[in-house]
Amino acid sequence: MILKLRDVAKHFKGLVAVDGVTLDVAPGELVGIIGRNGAGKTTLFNLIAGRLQPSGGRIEFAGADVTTLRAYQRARRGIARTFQVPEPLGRLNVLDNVKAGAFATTASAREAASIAEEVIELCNLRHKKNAEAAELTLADMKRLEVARALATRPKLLLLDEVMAGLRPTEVSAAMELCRAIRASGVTLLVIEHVMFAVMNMCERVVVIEQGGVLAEGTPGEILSNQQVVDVYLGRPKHV
Amino acid sequence: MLTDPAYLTEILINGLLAGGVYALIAVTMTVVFGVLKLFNFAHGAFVTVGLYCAVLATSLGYDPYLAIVPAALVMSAMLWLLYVLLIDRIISRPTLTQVIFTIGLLTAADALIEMIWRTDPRVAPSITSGALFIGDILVSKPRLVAFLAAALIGFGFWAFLKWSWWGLAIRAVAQHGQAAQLIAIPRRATLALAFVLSGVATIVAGILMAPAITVTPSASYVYLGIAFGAVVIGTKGNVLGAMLGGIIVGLTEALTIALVGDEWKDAFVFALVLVFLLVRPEGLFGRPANV
Amino acid sequence: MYSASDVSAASVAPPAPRRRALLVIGLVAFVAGAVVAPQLLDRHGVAILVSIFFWASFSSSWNIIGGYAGQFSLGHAAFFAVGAYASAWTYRYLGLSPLVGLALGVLVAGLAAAALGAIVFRYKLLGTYFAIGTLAFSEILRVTLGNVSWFGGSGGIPIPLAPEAPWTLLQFQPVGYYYLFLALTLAYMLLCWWIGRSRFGFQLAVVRDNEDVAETLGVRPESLKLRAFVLSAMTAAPVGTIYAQYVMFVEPQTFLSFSMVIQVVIPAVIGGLGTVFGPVLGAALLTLVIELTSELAVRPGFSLFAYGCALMVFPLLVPSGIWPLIRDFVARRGR
Repeated sequence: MILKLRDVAKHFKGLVAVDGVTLDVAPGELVGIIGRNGAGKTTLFNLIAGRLQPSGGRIEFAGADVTTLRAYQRARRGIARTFQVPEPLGRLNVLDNVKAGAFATTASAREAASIAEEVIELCNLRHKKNAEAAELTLADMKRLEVARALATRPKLLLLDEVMAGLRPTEVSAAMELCRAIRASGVTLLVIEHVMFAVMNMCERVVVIEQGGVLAEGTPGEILSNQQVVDVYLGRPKHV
Repeated sequence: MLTDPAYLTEILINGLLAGGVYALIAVTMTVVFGVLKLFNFAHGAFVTVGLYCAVLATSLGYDPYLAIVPAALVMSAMLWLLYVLLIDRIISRPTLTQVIFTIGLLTAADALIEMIWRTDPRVAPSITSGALFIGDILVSKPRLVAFLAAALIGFGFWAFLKWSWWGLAIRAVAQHGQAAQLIAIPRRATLALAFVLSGVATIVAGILMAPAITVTPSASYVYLGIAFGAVVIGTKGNVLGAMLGGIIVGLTEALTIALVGDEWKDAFVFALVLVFLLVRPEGLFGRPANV
Repeated sequence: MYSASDVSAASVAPPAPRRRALLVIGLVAFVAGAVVAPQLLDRHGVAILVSIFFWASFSSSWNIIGGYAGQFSLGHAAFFAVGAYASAWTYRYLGLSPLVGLALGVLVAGLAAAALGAIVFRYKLLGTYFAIGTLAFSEILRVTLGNVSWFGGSGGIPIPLAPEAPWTLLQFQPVGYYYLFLALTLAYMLLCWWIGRSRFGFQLAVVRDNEDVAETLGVRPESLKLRAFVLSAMTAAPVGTIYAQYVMFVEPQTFLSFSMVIQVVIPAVIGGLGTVFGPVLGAALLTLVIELTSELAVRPGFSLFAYGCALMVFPLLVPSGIWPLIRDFVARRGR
C-alpha cells in the first residue's frame, strides 16, 4: 500500500469537513474520488498533501507515518498535487513553471531544464513552451498544473478536478494523459465530476459523502449502488 | 521611587495625555489604511506640517491654537487637490509604488519645511503654556488641552464614521469599493473625503501638540513610527483599536522614561510592537488569520 | 513590479545571443570607464562617484531580500551598522585592522539576520508586518547602540586618523574608497546575476509569487527567505565597514537613522527590483538628481525637495524601474 488513511478527520470549529476516512491505495492504482460538492473531497486532498493538518487519524505514505509532516516535507517524499483552480506562476513561462517543479529533485539548472523538457513532451505542451503562463487557455493551464506537479517526480499524484471546464475532446486527451502517467509508474488519485472519464479510466472509485466514505468499488459496482445513485449519480442516462 | 503612588500616577497621567494625541494620529492613519488601502509614509509629515503651522502662527504674533481653523480650511483645499491630482492615481498602483511615492511626499514636505524654517528647534508658546497642579500631580497644560481636544476630535471621527451617511459610505468603500459603487456610493468622492478628513485631523493634532514640545523637522519620523506602532497594536483599520493603541504607546513611553530613561523610549515602544507582531499580529481587535 | 525581475524577464523574453554580446561589451566598457573616471574628475566629482557606488552596493545588498526574495525589509540599516561598528570598535579598542573587523562584521550580521529571520519568518510575518518588524529591530538597535557606553554611546566611535598607514588599515584618499565601493558593487552585481540563474533564485521567485504552490514543490518558504535574509545582511556589513572608514566615525544617529533605513530601498525600487543593474542605475540617477539640484541651491533643503518630488513622479511614470524599461525597449526593438 502506498497510501494508508486511518480514520482521518478534520474539524473546523464545529464544522466536520472530513469524518473518519479510512482508505488504502495500492501503488500504481488509478483511483477516482467522486461525490457532491462540499462533501469534503478537496479537504481530503489537502489533508493527504499536507496543506491541512488532520484533527484526528493517521496518514501513512510509502510505509512512513506522515501525519504531522508539512506540505513541503510530503512533497519531498513524493506526494504531488494540482489545485482545483489552477495556480500557475503567472509571470514565468511554461518551461520555467515546470522547471520550478523539477528543482524539487535536483539542484542543477541544467538537469531541471531537461526534466522539464521531458515532462512538457509527455504533457503535450511543447508548442506552448515559451508562452507566459498567465496567457494560457484553461485546458493548457490545467495541463501545466499537471506538468509542474509531475516534474517533482512524485510517487503519488493528486489531481483535483483536472477536467472541469474542458470540452469532450480535451477530456479524452486528459484521460490519455492520466493513463500515460499511470503507465510511467505514478499512483493517481483523481477527484472528478466528469463521470465519463471516471468510469472509463479508473479501476477503483471511492464515493465521498458528508466527509466520509459512502461506497468503494469498481466503476460497475458504484454505478449499481443504490445509495450512490440516490445521493449523487441520479438515474444514469448514458455512460 | 515607583512605589510612590503620586509619582506613578503622574507618570501614567502624562503618558495618557501624550497617548491621547498619539491616538488621534493613529486613528487617522488607520482610516487611510483601511479605506484607501494606502500605506502612507507621509503621515508623520502631516503632523509636522501642523507643528509648523503653529510655529508660523507664533512668528506672526498669534496664539498657535488660532491657527487651527485657518489651517484646517487651507489644508482641506490643498489635501483635496493632492488627492485629485496624485493620490487617486496612486491607490490603484501596487504597494511598492505607493511606498516610494509616499516616501517622496514625506521627503519633499520635510525639505520644504526645512527650506523655510531650517532645522533649528522652534517653540510655539501659547496662553496655555505652563503647568498646573491637579491634586498632587504636576500636569503640563498644553498637553492637557491637546489631550482633550484630540479626544474630542477622535470620538467625533468615530461617531461620524458610525452614524453619518458619509461615514457609512466611507466604511462601505473600505469593505468593498466596487460593491459600494453598485449601491450608488460615489467611490472617489468618498475616498477623497476620507483622505482629506484624516489629513486635516492629523495636521490639527500637530497644531495641538506644538505648544507642548520643541519642534524640529525630524518630528515626521518620530510620529510615523508611533503611528505605525499604534495601528499595528490596535489592528489595521480599526478606529477604536487605533485609539487604544495610541494610549498604550503613550503609557509605554512614559513608563520607559520614568523607569529606564528618556533615551530608551523608542526602543521599548518598538520592542512592544515587535512582540505584538510576533504574538498577535492581527492586533488587539483582529481575528487571527488561522487555518 | 516583481514581474520585472530578472528571473521573470528571462522567462518571457530570453536574450538573443547578439543582444547578450552587446550586453557584455557594454559591461566591459562600463567597468573600464568606471576605473578610469576618477582620474578625469576633481575632488567634488570623486565624492559624487563615491556616493553613487556607496548607494549602489548598499542597495544591491538590499535587493537580495527586497527584490529577489520579495520581502520588503526596513531593517537593512541595522546590518550596515553592525558592519560599521564591528570594524570601528575592533580598530579603536583592540587595534585590529578593519579588514578583521570587516570579516567580524559579516559574521555578526549573518548571525543577527539568522536569529531575527528565524523568528519573523517562522511567525509568518508578511508584507507590511515584516516591514514594520524589521524596522522595529533597526530602531531598537539604534537606541541600544546609542545608550550603551561600551559601544561609544550616542557619540559613537571616532576612527582615529593614521597617516602613513599601511593599506590594511583601510584609510585612503577618497579615491581609494571609490574603488572599494566600485569593487563591492561589481561583486554584488555578480552575486545577483548568479542568484537569478540558480535554483536558489528560481525557488525564491516561486516563494515570492505563491507560497502555497512553493510548498507543493518541496520548498520550505521560511528556510529560503531566511537564506536570502542572511545573505543580504552579510553583504550589507562590508558596506558599513568601508563607509565608516570613509567618514572616519560611526554613530547611531547617522548610520541607523530612519532616513538611512528608507533611502537604501529606493535605488533598487527605482532602478528595478530583482535585477542586476537596477540598484546601480537607481543610485546613479538619484545622485545625479541631488547633484544637479544642489547646483541650483536656492536654500538648504532644496535638493532634498527635488529628490522627494523625483520620488513622487518616478513610480508613476516608470513603475517597474529603469532597467526593465531599458530592457523591454531593447527587446521590442530587436523584434
